[in-house]
Amino acid sequence: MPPDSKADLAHPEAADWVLGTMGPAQAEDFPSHLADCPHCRAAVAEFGELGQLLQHLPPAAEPPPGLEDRTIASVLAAAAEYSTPTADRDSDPEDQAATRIQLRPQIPPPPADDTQIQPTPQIPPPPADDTGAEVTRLPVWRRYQGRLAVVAAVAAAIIAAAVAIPLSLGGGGTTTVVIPLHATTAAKLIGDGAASGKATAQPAGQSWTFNMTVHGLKVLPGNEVYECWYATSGSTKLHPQLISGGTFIVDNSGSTTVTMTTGVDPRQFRTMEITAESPGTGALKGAVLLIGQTL
Amino acid sequence: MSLDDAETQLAAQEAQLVDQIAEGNIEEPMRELYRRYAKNLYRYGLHILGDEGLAEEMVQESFVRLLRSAGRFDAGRGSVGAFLIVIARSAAADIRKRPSSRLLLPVEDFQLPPLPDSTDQILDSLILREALDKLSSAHAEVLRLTLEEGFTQAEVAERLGLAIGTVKSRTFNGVRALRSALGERGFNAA
Repeated sequence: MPPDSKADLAHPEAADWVLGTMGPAQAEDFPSHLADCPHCRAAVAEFGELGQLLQHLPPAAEPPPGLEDRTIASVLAAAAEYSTPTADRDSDPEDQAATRIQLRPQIPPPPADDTQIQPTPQIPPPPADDTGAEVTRLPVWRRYQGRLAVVAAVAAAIIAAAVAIPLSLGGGGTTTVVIPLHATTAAKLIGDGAASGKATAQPAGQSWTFNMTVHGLKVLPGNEVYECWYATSGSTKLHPQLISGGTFIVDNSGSTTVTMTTGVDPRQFRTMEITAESPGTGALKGAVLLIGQTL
Repeated sequence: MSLDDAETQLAAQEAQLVDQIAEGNIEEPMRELYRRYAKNLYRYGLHILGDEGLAEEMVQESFVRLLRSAGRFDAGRGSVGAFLIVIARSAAADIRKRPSSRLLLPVEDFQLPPLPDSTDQILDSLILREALDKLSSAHAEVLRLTLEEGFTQAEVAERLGLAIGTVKSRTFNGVRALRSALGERGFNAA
């Protein structure tokens, strides 16, 4: 548009109107000015739609340097989780099989000297369709048999707990639960693969006292700290059911022993997770480095 | 090579990266896509969630969801960039719904912007952000004070010691330069 176009002759207030910086009092009067000023109308017509978009511009921020490794670690941990079912997942394995993502076998890379863009490889359909393998459906009673076994086991466990817990808590004895901690895939990726730990927990009145020892963790930089979390079995990354148990740092050898008192019952919050965190909202942000289940 | 050819080749490369992820070759293709898109996703997350920690979480969650959805990506229906924006928008919406994501500020003091209606709107705003960063310093300074600090034209003139007519023409010329950056991808705001 030439510099002597009508929009360029508009009043400066037209730019305030278009970009949303006009004060409320002026904004009240501006429409009547607009009706009388063809130059301002030309500016609003030229820039109006873009002005709306510019008012919702994202900030000029850069992602923090460590985010790439944390993101890749999360992705690889999720991939490992999908391909390896854990013991305390939902009790119905048929349902698990329906929802678990099976990663397809890796295809060989293209030849090194082939610089052309290859056509999108054909993704093989799931094995059952691909091979034409016969799907054997168990008779109904056989399928229920598996579920009945699970139900029976759960019932037995409940009865055992109902007997054992009052005996140990009310009978003057001590209940000690043990939580062995092992390094996650994310920890292995950042060189903490040898990290390990163990926590024991005992009731202390209405609370529980946890004694935890960890080894092989890195000394964290700056004001970062390790944080201990307790998770319910239904906790997921998207819908976390977590309670923070406290933060700690390790000595120069990567070890420490800490004692934490909390209202969390480790028989309900059966998963313990250790993350590395920096000051923020208080929500879990770091990748899980150590994890363990109440035995 | 024309701009269209370059874009087509880039789109094919990125579609291939997503295919590799779907095939189970995860780390390197995922890193490559992270390097191409993390900045824009992070900026979007920061804008829409108003918190650096939550924006980081949104970026992480978006790539985890990309892993889950890679097998469903259809290059015929859109670019990998648009696919990731759709995923990020959904992740941001889920994070915003979570009670623990709410900032410890009175409601009247802080209001998150509305979630944009369409992927195109988000892509446009991200392209504009990049275009603004590349503007000449004279134009960028005026627009930054206006768009990011909320100063009126008169206030910008006072702060920079410029005639108000100069501020206005820099504003309009800057906005025109931004529009031409969008025009390359078919945005036709009059």
